[in-house]
Amino acid sequence: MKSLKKPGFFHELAKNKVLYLMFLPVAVYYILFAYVPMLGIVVAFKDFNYRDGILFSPWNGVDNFRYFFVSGKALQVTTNTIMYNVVFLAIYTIFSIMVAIMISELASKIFKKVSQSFMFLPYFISWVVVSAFMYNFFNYDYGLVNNFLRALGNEPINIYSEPSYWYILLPVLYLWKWVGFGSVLYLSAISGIDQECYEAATIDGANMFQKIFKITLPLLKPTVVILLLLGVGRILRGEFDMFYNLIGNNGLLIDNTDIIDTLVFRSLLGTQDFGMASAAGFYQSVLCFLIIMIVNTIVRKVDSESALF
Amino acid sequence: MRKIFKCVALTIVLNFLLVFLFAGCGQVPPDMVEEVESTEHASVGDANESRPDEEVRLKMYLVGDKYSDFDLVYEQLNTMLMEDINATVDVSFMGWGDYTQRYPLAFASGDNFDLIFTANWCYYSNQAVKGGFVEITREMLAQYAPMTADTMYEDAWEQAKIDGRVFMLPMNYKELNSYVYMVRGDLMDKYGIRQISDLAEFGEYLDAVAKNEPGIIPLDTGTDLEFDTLLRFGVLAPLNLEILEPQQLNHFFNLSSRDSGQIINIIETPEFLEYAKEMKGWREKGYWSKSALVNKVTAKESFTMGKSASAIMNLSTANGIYMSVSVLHPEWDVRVYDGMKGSGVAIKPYIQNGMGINANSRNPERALMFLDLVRNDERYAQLVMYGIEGVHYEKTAQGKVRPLADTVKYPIDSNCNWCWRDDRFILEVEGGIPNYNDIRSAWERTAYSHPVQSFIFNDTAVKNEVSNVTNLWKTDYKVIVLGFTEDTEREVNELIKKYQNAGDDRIIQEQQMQIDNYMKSLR
Amino acid sequence: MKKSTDQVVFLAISYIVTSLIAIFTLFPFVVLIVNSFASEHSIIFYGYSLFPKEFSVDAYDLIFRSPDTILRSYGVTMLITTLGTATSLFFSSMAAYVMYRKDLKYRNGLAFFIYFTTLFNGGLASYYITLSSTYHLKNTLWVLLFVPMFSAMNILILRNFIRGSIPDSLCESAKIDGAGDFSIFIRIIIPLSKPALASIGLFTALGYWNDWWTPMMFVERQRLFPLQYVLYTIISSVNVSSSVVQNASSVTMPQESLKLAMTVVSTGPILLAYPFVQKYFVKGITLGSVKG
Repeated sequence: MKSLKKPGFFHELAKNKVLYLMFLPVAVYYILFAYVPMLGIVVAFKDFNYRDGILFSPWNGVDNFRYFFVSGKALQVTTNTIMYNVVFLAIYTIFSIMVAIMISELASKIFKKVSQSFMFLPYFISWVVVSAFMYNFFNYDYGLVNNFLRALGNEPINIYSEPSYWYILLPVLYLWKWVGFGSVLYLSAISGIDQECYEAATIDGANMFQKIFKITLPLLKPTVVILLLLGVGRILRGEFDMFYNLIGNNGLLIDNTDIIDTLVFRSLLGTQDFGMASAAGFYQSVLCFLIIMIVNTIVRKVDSESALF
Repeated sequence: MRKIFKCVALTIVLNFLLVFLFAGCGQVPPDMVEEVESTEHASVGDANESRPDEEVRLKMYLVGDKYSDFDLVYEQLNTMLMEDINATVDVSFMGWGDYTQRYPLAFASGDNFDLIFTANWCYYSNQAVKGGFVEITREMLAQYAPMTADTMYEDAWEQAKIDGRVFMLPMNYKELNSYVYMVRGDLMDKYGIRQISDLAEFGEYLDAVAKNEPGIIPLDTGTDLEFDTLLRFGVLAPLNLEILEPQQLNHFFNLSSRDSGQIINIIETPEFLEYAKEMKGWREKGYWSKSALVNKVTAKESFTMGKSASAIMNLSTANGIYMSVSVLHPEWDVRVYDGMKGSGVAIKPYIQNGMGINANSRNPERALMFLDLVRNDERYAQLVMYGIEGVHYEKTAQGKVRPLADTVKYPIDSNCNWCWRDDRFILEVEGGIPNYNDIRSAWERTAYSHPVQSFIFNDTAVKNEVSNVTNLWKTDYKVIVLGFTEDTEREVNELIKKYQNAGDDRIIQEQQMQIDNYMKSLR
Repeated sequence: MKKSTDQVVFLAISYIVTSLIAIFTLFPFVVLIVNSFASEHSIIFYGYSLFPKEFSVDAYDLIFRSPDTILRSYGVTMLITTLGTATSLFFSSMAAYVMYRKDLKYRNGLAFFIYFTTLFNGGLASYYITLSSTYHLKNTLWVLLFVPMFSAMNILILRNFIRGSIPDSLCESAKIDGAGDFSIFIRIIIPLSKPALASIGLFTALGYWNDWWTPMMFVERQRLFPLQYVLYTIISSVNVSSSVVQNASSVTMPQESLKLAMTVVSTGPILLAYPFVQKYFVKGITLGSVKG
């Protein structure tokens, strides 16, 4: 181990032994429940069988990766995944902050609490139920929306055969589901802001909007940055449940809405091959790893306190 | 950046350390060794006739969801088992929603459960190839399951073979379960439709409904399980084609020529193109919903609720639906018509339901003894199939089964007992389709059994291609089958190209090679 | 105090926007509750409606068919949620505090050690085998407690919150006063991080509450089933009995309304608990009060 050779290592441990001890429980948890199972990552390069188990099955090079790349869809689904995630992350962050600031400024305590509770409700509605809702609202034959359009004398719309609707619908639904959840973090960050800052600003004659842009937003910056970084670190992992339940296997939409996770799920349903499943996961991991390493390094250069690590 | 580098290095080093630490105690299932030990085989074997001394608890996995009276029924089963073979079974279910994930994991974990449901659609060949099951030999049968050795159909035994070795006991039941049209008699009479004997007449019926009954969907199709049911009548039955499992590959063989095992993908046939064009017309005429591609309501449910005017399903499902609908809505005058009319009906492979013994089982002999009883002893067979007599069912004077109020808690033939079905113990249920026997006996006259039905494809060589083609079947193929096309001919040709790009030719080549070898080995 | 124009404008916008979003999020939930009381027939026939055309409690009947199981599962869920959240919060914030301390040389290394686990994993098979065969956690309460316990994201967010709201000087002066590392954590960090702890605690509790995956994979004994998993099994059995099984009784199962009723049953209790957490999100309760 490299760091053992460094003279400062034991000294550092001894100096801060209480702190390191305080970290120990979490460290042990991660070793047992994350790093030990992580060894199984080798299965992505193996021809797995039960007799030999994960560690001793024969290696098969990159065979497990082939199905994903020969499908001819690898590039498309990777782009889709990234594009959707970028859009989701952007609107999620903007709206969460906006909502949090607004709620925190509201005067009526009851209104504050009630509206915030309402925004949290969608979190509990699973995507399965959301898809049932969508089907009931937008169904061509008897959906509420189409009945309404017909009543107005308009042509009904068929969202299940036209991808362009989903470019709007998916982000809106994502926002609808997560904005209440996201605003909680920013709300608690805002409640951590020292009131004296605002009082001082008021004395200096700053108006509401100046206070928001000059005090609240800059003070929220570290929270925004960390949440964005965490989001970027998941940029190749899609919201599987959402895409799977809303789009399913609809062949008319799939080119525009297929993400890595849904493609892999559909392809491997019949075989349940651990090696192939791990291979796709490994591909996502490596890309995420590279992206987050680059982004984190940039952030660190600009402001070392905001970086993830 | 250097710091981060160090972190990465540290993590990797740490990982390697862990590999060495855990390699020893991790994934080598110690029970593997025990399986080879055969010393105790002999001793239990002698006790074949009498009851073994050592009490054993067999752990068994079933696939499906547990009904509320399951434990009650199995309590009785266990009492009987204790008396007969000094064993009990401890059952865990893998639900329909999650068995695809849990099934392979049960094997991978090296758990020492004893019995597990398996089938050609339920990972039989996958797990057998990876070493998941105990091999079952004729000698083992003779020793521990003598009744089974006598009664098992020769075909069933042959079908279960993978590279000449058997890893499951398939059901002993000739399933003739092909498709029928279920329609409403009141609507037929109203629009003067006399009978439905082929797709064209069915189309007339749908047309009449589409034109005159605005609130009713003529045929509510489109869910993932049943979007291509019409294909059976339109293309498969006329050409005498039968599907080669796994279904998602969309490969077929000709039932009527027993000597040939020629594999085709029907999308390349002219019949398929004709069919696709016709379906485009049907879709345009509104025979099914414009949202059919994402339909979440099954045809069956929709028909039962009166939302659609017809449904296509297999005969036994139709029978169940008929029983309830004819009570709820006698005014519909539901009628069932044979959809196969003269064309070949396949006897379903026996291995579509079966029971395997885990390679890690500590008691494979007792597991076999248990299987022998439940398959061949009428008391056991009817208990698992129908529940407790007097509670879940009663027998009528004609020897039929009459459901009782508590049947809901242990529904007939619905408790993953399929793996033990045996023709000798199956009874007719009261209140079904009036022409049930006519349809069934018509099928029996022309029933086919083709050697390729029992062929099990080993997809190791073309795994990647298989997963890509699977993906196409669920998406692009579905669009065409349901008629959501503009220029059908062009789109079908595109589909063919997509299949080729996905490597379908290579799969067919591989399958053909394996099938030819298989057929040769039979001769 | 009289409000200035900018305040009035801002408040007006805030009230309007917040109300709109609140309505937009509330509306589906109302439809959901209403239609969970609609008959299966009316949902299949007319779709969801604002006023049920045919009232029915079939779905709830089905869920509470065996009330013992449901009540027991509520108990299991409450137990693991409270126990798990408390444990998780304590150790998470402790770890976050350690990584916040500037005088710790390897604090970024520790952060990376935690974060790395979100990037790479050994896949389902390896995880399952490790937990069930190596640690023998199958069919225990422990597995329900451990699997959702720590989240790297939550720990890192906590670290940033502490960093953002507690100045280093506070720790340093406490150290000069002779406070140990642990007592700084207990006496200063915890009381000053209440809003952050409240929100992360909420997320953790929700994670426990909604977890059906862990029991699906690792628990086979009915008495250990948490609520979400019991509901999951009910719905999956109904879905299948109406698509595979060939018996008469299954046809009339309330498949559609069941999905909705299930959401109502599982959401209810946690919604009641929400206001208790909310009070920590009130602006400015932290530093001002300490500094006096």
